[in-house]
Amino acid sequence: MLKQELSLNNLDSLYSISYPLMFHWYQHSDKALIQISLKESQLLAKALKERIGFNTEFKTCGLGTGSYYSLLKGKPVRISTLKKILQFFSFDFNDYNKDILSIGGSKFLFKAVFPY
Amino acid sequence: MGGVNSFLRLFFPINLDRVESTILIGAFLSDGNNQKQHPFYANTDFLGEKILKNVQALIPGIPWEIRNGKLRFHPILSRLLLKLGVPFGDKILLNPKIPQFIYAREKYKKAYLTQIFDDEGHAPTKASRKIVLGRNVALRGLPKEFTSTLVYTKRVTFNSLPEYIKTIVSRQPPNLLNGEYELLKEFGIKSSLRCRGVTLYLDRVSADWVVELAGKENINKFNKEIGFSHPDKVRRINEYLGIENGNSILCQG
Repeated sequence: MLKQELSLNNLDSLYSISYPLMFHWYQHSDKALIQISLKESQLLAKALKERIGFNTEFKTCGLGTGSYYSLLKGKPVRISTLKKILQFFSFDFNDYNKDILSIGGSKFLFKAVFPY
Repeated sequence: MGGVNSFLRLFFPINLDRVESTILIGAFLSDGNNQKQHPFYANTDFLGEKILKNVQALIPGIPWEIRNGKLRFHPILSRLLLKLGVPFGDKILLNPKIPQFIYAREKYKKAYLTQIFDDEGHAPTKASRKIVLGRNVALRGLPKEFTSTLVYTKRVTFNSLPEYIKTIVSRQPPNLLNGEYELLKEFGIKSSLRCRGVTLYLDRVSADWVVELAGKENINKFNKEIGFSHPDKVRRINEYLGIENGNSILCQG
């Protein structure tokens, strides 16, 4: 357990300290979901289709057809998926900051009221 | 993972270079736990509210809840905390150091110290006459012939330990407490760091260490330079120092 936790803590080279200290969307958990603007989402999906064809060919950049259709419809995809696509096109992650609509991570809706 | 309700609208990148970050570092290295899926803070009173406000200052609209008496947050907070230097997992086993970020500014050091004293510190009373800050650390390298003599959850005081065990224990203070002891020195506050004893608990033997601040002038200095923010602790330290309406009898000479 400890070994696993230690490796998790050292896993991400993105976490080196530099100032001003900023947290970027691509530093969130890869498994979390992210939704970008419909326009950018569709542009990415179309660019993929043009560049690498369709269906099984998507696997060359680690993308299933489900993710392709999610992008095409402007629905959320995993952060890891979006990162793979942007890397495939050599796009800068930071250029997509303004296009992020929402970011996910948990299935729970939390709410309580203070004083508790 | 990722129900529609859990989505939140954020603007990236999130600037972490602010005092709220240091308060969260202090809180999650004390009464909190940076769990990957559900980072939580164990207080739901005044301190819970304080932490909630600070989290919301960094991540407006972050989903949160109170479950089993703990304040839990959306997992994006765990990644922010990781970036700030708060590791995932059990602090007692990992024995982390104070994150470098704290040392960047004077106000960060103060806010961090206030938070950890709120969480882990005991305010002075007429009986105790000192401020005590305690932390535990898991011990490594203890011989089996010693650990097999320990009784579950029963603390063995440091003074009653065999000399060779004392040597092993003395070499493994909690890095956090050691760092906090050094930080207090930077503010000219005298304190002592000592081990109170060792305990067998769960699957580990841990040592119980404390930083103690004694002497009215010293405590008064702590109160002026750092201070508590928890109202009960503020009241207790003020009572001890004889402070009414912000005027200390020590100040009046």
